[in-house]
Formats: sequence, structure tokens, C-alpha cells
Amino acid sequence: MELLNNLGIGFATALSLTNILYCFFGVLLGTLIGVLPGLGAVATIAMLLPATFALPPVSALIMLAGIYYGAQYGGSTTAILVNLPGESSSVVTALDGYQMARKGRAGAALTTAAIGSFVAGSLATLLIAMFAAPLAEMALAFGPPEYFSLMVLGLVASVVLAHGSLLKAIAMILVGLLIGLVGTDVSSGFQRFTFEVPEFEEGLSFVAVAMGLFGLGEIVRNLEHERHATGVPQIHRIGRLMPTCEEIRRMIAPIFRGTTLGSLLGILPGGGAMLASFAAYSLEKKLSRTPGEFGCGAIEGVAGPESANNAGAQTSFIPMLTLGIPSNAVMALMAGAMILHGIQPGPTVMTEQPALFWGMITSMWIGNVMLVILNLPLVGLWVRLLTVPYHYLFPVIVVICAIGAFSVSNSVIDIHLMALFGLLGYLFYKLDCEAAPLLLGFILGPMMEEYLRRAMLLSRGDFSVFVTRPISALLLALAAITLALVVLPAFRKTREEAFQDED
Amino acid sequence: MPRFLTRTLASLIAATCLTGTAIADTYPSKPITLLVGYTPGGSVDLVARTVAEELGKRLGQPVVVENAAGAAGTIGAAKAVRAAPDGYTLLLGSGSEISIARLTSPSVKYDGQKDLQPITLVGTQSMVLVGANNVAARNTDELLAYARANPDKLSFASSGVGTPLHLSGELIKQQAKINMEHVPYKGAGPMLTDLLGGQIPLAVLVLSSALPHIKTGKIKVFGVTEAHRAAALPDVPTLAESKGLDGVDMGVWFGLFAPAKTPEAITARLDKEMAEVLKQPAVRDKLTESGLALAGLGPKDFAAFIGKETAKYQKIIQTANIRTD
Repeated sequence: MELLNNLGIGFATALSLTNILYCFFGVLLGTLIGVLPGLGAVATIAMLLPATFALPPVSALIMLAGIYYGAQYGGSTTAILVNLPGESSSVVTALDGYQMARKGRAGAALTTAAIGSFVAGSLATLLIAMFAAPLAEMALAFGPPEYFSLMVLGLVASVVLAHGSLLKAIAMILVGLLIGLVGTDVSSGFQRFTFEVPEFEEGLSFVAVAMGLFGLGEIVRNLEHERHATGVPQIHRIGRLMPTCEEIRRMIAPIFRGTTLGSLLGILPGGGAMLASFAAYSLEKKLSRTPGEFGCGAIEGVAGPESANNAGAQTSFIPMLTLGIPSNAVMALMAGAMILHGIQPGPTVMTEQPALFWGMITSMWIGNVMLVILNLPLVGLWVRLLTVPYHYLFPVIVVICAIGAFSVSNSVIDIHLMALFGLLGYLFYKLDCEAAPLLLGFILGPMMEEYLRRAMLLSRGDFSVFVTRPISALLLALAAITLALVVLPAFRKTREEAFQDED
Repeated sequence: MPRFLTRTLASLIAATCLTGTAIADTYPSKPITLLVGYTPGGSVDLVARTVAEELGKRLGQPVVVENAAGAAGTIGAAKAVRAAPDGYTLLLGSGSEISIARLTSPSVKYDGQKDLQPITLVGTQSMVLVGANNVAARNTDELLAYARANPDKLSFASSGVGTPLHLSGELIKQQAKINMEHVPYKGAGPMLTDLLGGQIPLAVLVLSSALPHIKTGKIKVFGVTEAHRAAALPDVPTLAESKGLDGVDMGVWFGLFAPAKTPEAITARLDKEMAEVLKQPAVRDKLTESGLALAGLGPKDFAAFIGKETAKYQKIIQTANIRTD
């Protein structure tokens, strides 16, 4: 009953005309910047933050939240259509989504992403409304050793991301770890491989690295084909926009599995939301009877991760709203926005500002409805983009990418960096090395190190903390099992067979 | 002295004065950039955005906040140092990038005391020594006694090597002659997570980020780092009130800077307007709510203040041998 009561307060706030308008404005803007490669929610919210000064706090937060999950929606569009993941969570969407697009199933991929995101968003919102406070308490049981073990599991599982040579995948993870070393070491404050470039002190920009490796690399590769073949590189047949019955049947289970995984990982304040899409992809590939299809346009590889990242984006509000702890850069900005309006984010928000708290939560669901209404008709329009001749399309993409890379921290170096990684991306393609494991190593490496050393500092150098703490021990055991599955001959055989099928 | 020379000199002086007033008369004739070395939404950014709006109104030109974030605020500060000293690029800086950075890291090439002209000290904020609820000690005295009895048990979290929070922790160690392991984090968020979960016993936090959790009793507070009690927590003692920690006086501070060699006419104008800005009730309320104690010191007093703070930092840094190169 209390829940209904709370939701009542929420809907009363969120359904006021002003708030509906701001919610719509937020998701619309979010979708747009999500579609533009590299322009992310962080930069947009940062730019809009001062403008929200004049708004009532609820409207401001509803709009900013709308931008955030709207961008998650829009981000998958570019990942699917042109292989450009602008956010870490859409990297895996690009893997199979782009392959679907190349096979003329772009419409189906986009629709899958939209439906998956909607279902995930709605369920996660319900989850926040029902269990926000106890879930946040649960997340506190995760200390440095648990996070470290979680990352180990993530990294081991990332081998699954590769669908070619295992050795090359491991090599790429290691390259990613090395690239991740650049920057200030959190534990000692020393700088590593920064070459006295102040911009490198915070590490290399994810947007620059990801867009270079995936997006620009792909562009170079397409242009190469263009010269060989006719004037147009690949004629993407548009095909049916809606998924077939078979495809709908195949996406249902992954959507629910992705939602569960994403909701759980999203609550963890240490970058769990980011892991969600990777984890969902690995899970789907493991469960699939045809793992060989992954990487060549498996619809499960779009449905699972897309649901997971949207659910994760939604539940990452939990630590911020209930504990006052921002779990990622966007949440830090949201917390900043609350402070700007004189509201200290934290456990008191729920009791002292019930209209604001529940208004924001219900607005997320309303926003998700708007996103589906907004996006499904647009699918046709986005897909039509692919019919634009490539030699007109690619300069536009390159320019937007450059703007996106620049906008993250207003630094020109990031544009150069993106160009460099573009060349590397092309080189990796030629060498048959996949960029996804590299990117995961790049993201997880620095975090793993940070948590490992923090755990070691706190335990005074005693390694046994990783196995004496139950959650950590469980995660490490899972990692060991995964590793064994990869290394053991029996499994390797089936894995290789799976890949032979595809050839 | 030949008369013509006197005349020339006189006219030269007059001309200089004229240009001086001329600059002051026409300044500002275009929008002013206010640099911040941190991301939007952080404490420095909040101060900048709060004063920027009002300052712009008073100057008749918009003051636009530009976030040149990264490298512990030094990217923004270095950008301000390199900017033309014409009053159109200003910096809202804090102790980290103005004073501490150069003391701990040789890669910082500018000198915040020489290469920047202090204009107004906006305000200071206290830090607090806080503990997880699973820490047995109830007050600072018990904590110090515990630390002396168990020299290798305590750890404290800070937002990174060479931050004011870290220096405060080191100061406590040095004054009380106790040992605590420093555990660096990437910011207040992750520190609070581990503190609320009881993963780490102690932390030094900026008052505003700790306040909501202190109020709800989710963490315990031992004392404030400034020499006087904080308005927001009148019942919480200062650390200096405890035996063994007398003389502890550290705060974080925020102020307006211009590149060195900015004409005095301009800095004087900015100082005058800033004094008015800080009198506005709306500005005062917003800044006090975010935990700031308003200072409003002018250029001379502000420079002297920075001198004293830097000397304090230097002593702590040398004793603890903190380096981040």
C-alpha cells in the first residue's frame, strides 16, 4: 500500500504539464546526442547544468535524467548502424548489431534494442520503487576485495567476446591493460606514461579510444572496399523493419536475463553498470546453442546487452538517491545538480523530499514510454541513413566524431588520439585481432588495479582476504571455473567446432 | 633636467594614467571566461557558477564558466597562467592547484603565488575526520588512545595523494604522533561507499560531503579540521580541542584569480564587484548552504593568506615526504 501511495505522489508530480514537457525535452535531447557519435550524456549534462539553475529542482532533475537514459537509447542506434559505440555500454551492441545491419537487418536490430531497452527500463524502474533502500544497503557489502574479484571474473569472461583466435583475444586484453596504465596511479599519485602531457594525467579518453578503434577503423576499412568495388561500399538492404516472429521468440529470454543482470550490476557503485552489457553478452553467448553466430549478427547479442545497459543505467540511480553516492560521472553531475538546488543527495532525500524522489522515479517510466513512441517510428528514418552514399556519409561521421571526442574534456589532444586509434583499429582488422577485448581490458585494467591495491593496503598485504570473504571467494571461484572451461581440451574442442560451423 | 624631458616624462605618465582609466572605463567590453580546473557539479565548480552569474550582472558582461578539468585542477590553472593578462580570463581556484600541486609534483611548471594575481578569497570550508560506525572509539581522545595502543590497525581514506584531505590526515598523524595507513580514493563518492559499508575505519572528508551522513548517523564524526567549530555542526568539537592535536587548523579555500600582470585598474574593479557579489543574500545563502564560510578578503589580504597556507602545506609535505612525480 505504501508503494502505491508513493507511486501516487510520484505520478502526481511527474504528470504535471511542465514536468512532462521537461521529461520529453530530456529524452529527445538524449536520443539526439546519443545518436551523434561521441557526444555523450556527460558532456551534454555538464553543458546544461547551469541552465537548470532557473528551473524548479524536480523539473531540472527529470530533464537531466531523461538525457541520461535517452542517450543510452540513442547510443545503440549509431553502434548498430555505423559501428560507432559512443559509450562503453554500447561497445557490445556494435558487435552483433552492426553485423545485423550489414546483413540488411538494421531495422530489426534497432527495434530489438528499443523493445529490450523499454522492457528493461520499465522493470528496473519498478525495482527502484520497490527495493531501492534495501538494495543500496546490499551493495555496501561490496568492499575492495569483492570489486577486484568481480573485475577478474569480468576479464576472464571477456575472452568470450572474441570469436576468433583465443591467443589473439588474450593478447588484445593485455594491450588494453597496457593502454589503461596511462595516467596518474591512484595509489601512489605517480604518473605513468604521460610524457608530461597534462591531458594524459587522467588516463586516455575512453571516447577517443573506442571511437577510433571501432568507428574510424571501420571507416578506413569501408573506404578501402569502396575503391575496389563500385562507388557504393556495401548496399545495406533495408529489409523488413520489424523483427520476424522467429526473431521475437529468440529475443524474449535474453531481454529478461539482460534486465536481471543489468539491474543487479547497476546497483554496485563501482562501475557495475558498465560491466552489465559485457556480462549480458557473455552470458547469452554461453547459453546459446549456436555460439558461433555471435559476432556475425546474433539477435540475442543485441537484445541481452541492450536490456542490461538500460536496466543498469536505471538502477545506478539507487546508490545516488538512497545513499548520496554517485556511481559514475553522470550520477556525479546529477548529485551536483541537486546540490546546486540546495538538496543534499543522500538518505534524507527520500523522506524529506518525497515528491522529488518519487517524481523522478515515475518520470523515468514515463520517459521510457516516450522513448519507445519516439524511437520506433524513427527506426525507418535511421535505417534510411544507410542508403546515403558512403562518400557523403563518412566525412560527416568523421567530423561529428571529432566534435564528440573534443567535447568530453575540451581538449584537442583527444582528437589526435582518436585518429591514432583509428589507424590502430584498421591495423587490428588487417591482423584479424578484435578490438572488443582490448577495450574491456582498457576499462577494467585500471579499476582492477585500484581495487587490488586498496584491498592490499587495507589488509596490510595479506592476500587471504580474497578467499576468506565469501562474496569475493564465490566470484573468484566462478572466474576459475570459466577459465577452466576455456582452457580444458573438451570445451576448446566444442568452441572450435562452433567456429568452424560459421566458416 | 632639461625641460623637454620633464615634459615628455610628465606626458608619458599622464598617458599611462589615461590608458589605465581608459581600460577601467571600457572594461569589460566582451564576455569574460571564468576557468575552473574541475568537472561541473564539483565543489569548486559550484562556487564558480554561483558567483559568475551575479558578477556578470554587475559587470554588464556575461561571465562564462569554462571547465578545463583534469590533473587535480592544474590543467585549468595552467591555462589561466598562460592567458593574456587583460581581465577577460579569470580563474576560480582552490588550494590544491594554487599551492599544493607545485610542492608535490615537479611536473607542475607554474607558481600559483607568482604567476597568478589573487583578487578575492571567496570562502573556506572545514574538513572533518569521520569514522565508520563499526569503529569502537566514540571521540577523538579514544581514537588517539586506540591508535597508540594498536599502531598498525587504523587506515584513513582521502581523495588522493597530495589533496588537502590527504594533507589533513598527515597533519593529524604528525601532530598526534600516531600511525594510520593512507588509502587514496578517486573522490568523495567511493570513499563514502566504503565508509558506509564499514570497509575502511576512517576518512577525512570535506564537511559538505560528509554532512548528510553525519546527520543521519550513518557515519560518526570525530572533529573538524579548522581551528573553530563549523556553523553547520556546532556540537562537534574541533580536532584542536583534543590533547595532542592542538594547533591543527586546516581548511579548503576558494578564490578568484587573474593572470599575473593584469592591470591593477582591472583587478581593483573585480575586487570591488566581488565584494558586492558576496553581499547578495542569494549568493550568501547558496554558498553557506554548500558548506562555505564566506571570507571576502581583498587582493593584499588574500595574498598574505595564501602565503601562510602554503607554508603550512610545505611543512606537512616535507615531514611526510609526499611526492607525486
